[in-house]
Amino acid sequence: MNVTEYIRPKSLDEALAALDAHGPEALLIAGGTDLLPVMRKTRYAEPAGRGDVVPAARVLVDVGRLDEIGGIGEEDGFLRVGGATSIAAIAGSPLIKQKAPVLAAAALSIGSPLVRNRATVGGNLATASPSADTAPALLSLEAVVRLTSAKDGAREVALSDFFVGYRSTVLRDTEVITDVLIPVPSPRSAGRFEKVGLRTADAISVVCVATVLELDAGTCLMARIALGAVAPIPVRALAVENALEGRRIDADLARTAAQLVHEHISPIDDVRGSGTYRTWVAEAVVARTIMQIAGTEDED
Amino acid sequence: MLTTCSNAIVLTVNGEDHMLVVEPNELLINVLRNELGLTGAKYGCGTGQCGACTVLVDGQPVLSCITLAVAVDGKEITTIEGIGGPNGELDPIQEEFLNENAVQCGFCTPGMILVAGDLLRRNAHPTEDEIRHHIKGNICRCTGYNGIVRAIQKAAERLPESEAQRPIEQSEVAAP
Repeated sequence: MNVTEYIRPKSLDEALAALDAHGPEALLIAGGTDLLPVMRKTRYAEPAGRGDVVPAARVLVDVGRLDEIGGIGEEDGFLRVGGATSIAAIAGSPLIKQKAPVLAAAALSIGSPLVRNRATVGGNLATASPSADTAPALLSLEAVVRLTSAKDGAREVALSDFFVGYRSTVLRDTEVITDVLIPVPSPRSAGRFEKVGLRTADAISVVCVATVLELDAGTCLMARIALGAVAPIPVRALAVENALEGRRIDADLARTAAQLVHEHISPIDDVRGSGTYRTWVAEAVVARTIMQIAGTEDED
Repeated sequence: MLTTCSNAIVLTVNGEDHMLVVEPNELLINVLRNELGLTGAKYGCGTGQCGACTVLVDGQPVLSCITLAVAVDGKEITTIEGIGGPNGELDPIQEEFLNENAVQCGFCTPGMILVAGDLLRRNAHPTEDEIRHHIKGNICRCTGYNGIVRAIQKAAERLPESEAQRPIEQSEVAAP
């Protein structure tokens, strides 16, 4: 590790000033569950393999304890989750479980109880792993992230515009993810999150799917479906959504619509599964989540 | 030339305050084991996947091999050395681990016991599924887990009545 300085600012303003002062030499840390293993493996400046290059940062700026960017609440039609909120807090939040269960389920699928106690939602998004489990759930909820810097203040970016490539986002090195904002889902909507991993804890997703549907007597009024670990970035399956909206959902429609997921994914072969396997699994899991929400039996 | 800014920190470890000067990249587990001589927490995988390094920070189990010491400045740390009585009496969970043969090589045991205590503080009557869910981040390569699950069940049965009747808190283990 090349880190020679650790700063724990007492306020968001101090944190932003520190990032501004140190530029590319500075790196944000909150829980550190993703950063520490990479830092240690790479002595902080070398490639960690398969393109996981960590910038040659010298100064850590710890925002993990800033109350200003923590906590969970509801205001003005939005659920607000602070960027430094722990994954355990999200998984256990009665508000999130009630109003955005797809996010609670995604949070609960991450790591282990030990990891979830330290890991944060801002970190899960900022590291921009294609398999970050909160990302598809937040995409299916049409979340917006608020990014704040000392010089430019706050800006809001739709999560669908946040990821730009493998391990790459629009987040500038002077910016902090202060909030994740989720439009409060309709009480008539329901969500499912499903993750396929090689074990049930500490697993990196082979495929993960977040599906939110709004149904009226079996007819789909609104569909939002997003996937992780099947493309360089987490993706929305717009073609599947369009095939469902306005139609009555039965098992046949779920299956034919799910096949359209191919238009949006480009899975790779890696140690956890082949691209072909991921394609089959993505299609099957998308169909299954649709049928589960619609209460339609799969006849197979 | 690179200069390193050392940090003066205070850790309350098992109820005792320690003033320490640490490098910014020093891991919590190394401070506990090498500076304070508390070797109960084990260095296993080093990447946060095995749970052998588990300690409690402000009562919450975390992985000390991927936690910076400076990041827990001012916090209360509890290691396995800190959970028994003042004269070396064992905690009920420790006793049940012995009774149920939940220990073979012992490498995972400190983490398992700390995580079990966290579960029982939040959920005095866990089901077997809830126990297995809560110890998912702690790997045991000897016992096959059955003895560990039995020991946690037996420890739960021994909880004082007042504690057992405490309402179950909302926690992630209760999620559907």
